[in-house]
Amino acid sequence: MPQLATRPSRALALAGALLFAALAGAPPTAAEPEPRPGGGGPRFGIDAFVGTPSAFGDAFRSVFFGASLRYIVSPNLELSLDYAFMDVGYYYPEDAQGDSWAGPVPWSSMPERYEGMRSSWIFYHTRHFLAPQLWYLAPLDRFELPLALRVGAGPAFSFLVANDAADYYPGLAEAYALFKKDFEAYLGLSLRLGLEYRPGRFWRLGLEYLFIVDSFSGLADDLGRYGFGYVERSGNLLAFVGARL
Amino acid sequence: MRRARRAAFLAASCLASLSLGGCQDLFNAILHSPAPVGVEASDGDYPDRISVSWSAPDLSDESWDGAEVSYYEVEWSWEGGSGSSSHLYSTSYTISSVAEAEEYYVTVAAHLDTGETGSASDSGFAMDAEKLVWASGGSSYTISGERWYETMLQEGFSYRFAFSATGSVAFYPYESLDELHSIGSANAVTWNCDEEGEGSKFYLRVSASGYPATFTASCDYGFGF
Repeated sequence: MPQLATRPSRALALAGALLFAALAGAPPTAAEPEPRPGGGGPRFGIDAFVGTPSAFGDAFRSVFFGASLRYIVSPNLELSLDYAFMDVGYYYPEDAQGDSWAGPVPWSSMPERYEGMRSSWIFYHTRHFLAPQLWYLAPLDRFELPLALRVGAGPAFSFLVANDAADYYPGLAEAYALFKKDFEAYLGLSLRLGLEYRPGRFWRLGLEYLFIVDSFSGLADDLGRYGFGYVERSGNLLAFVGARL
Repeated sequence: MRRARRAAFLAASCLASLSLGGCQDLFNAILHSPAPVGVEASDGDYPDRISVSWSAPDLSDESWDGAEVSYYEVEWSWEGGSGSSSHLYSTSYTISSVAEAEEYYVTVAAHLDTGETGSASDSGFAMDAEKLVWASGGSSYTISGERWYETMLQEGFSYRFAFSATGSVAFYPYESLDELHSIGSANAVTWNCDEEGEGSKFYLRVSASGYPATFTASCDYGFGF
């Protein structure tokens, strides 16, 4: 299963507690709808987030950034379209003839001879993440806490955009095609679990886990195999700040 | 006097303007010229023609008092001559059968039903460039005299052209005819790319003696030749 990321440890316990509370302690009917000014209230929102991809050892040096456009159906239900710029994968020739190319790799793994050339390097692809999501929110107002649990799910798409250089360097085109062949299978489900802090009606701050799974059966298998370690292994920790309009 | 002040203001504004076309539009707007807006001539998009497009002049100001465009007219010139269109009633025009890699200066005039005229210009060119690839061990090409190519070059890499006789190579940013660098004439010429070009894309004009001539293009991939 392709992994977007890994991370955390202490947040793990928090996530478990949140999940428990979401499922057991905060039934939908218990959620207090937020007062909407003029009978309306915020209908749209935008969240900016930063996440930790786990696919690399240097997770915190390879954070990804994204944004989420949200439509607020009701105090408990939201729809969103999330986009994240995941990373840049670099390719490089391994010999002076251009016979063999390596990659994609992060820039930190590039050979020393290319040091200082990052800003002008033309042999790369970028990786993007797109996920339409359905969210269930369980405000914890009844516990007099300005918090809400958020659980989201939906399809997840990850796609590559290659630089035009592959059109001019056949060796690069070969390496890119080889990687893309495996990558095209990368379509899965996005599952989200998090907690948002509501300092005011129009602002949100929070943390959440993002899991990308191939299928529910695959998720069940992985949970059976790794137990709670699955969160460490496959969860992407996201921090977000959002505005509601 | 008022126009002079406007022109002075305009000149200053142009310094901050990002494009010549945008500056020209700003000028025309402040001088209340009924010139077409956003005149654009294609830069190498087609092998044998130049596409010209524009928008109608802004006649919303009350000073135009309901004036309307009667027709447009396109004129162009290049080193080898000039030409013009008949009366046009649309906001695009194609100059056909143009010489490759020759800069054409294009002017679009809007003629109003009041008799007034405003014009704006741009330059463009046609380009029939072949794709030049950097295959392992070098790529061979056959040319007769001169040929244009498009390619991508990595800054810091060296690129060599080995001719069957002698030849020269000139480098241009993509979609531009402003020469960056030229080398030759020799049996083999090498350029250590020190330019980023336009998104690292370049036009190359390769000239070779002999008929037909061949050359092999190879790259050092940062290892050195």
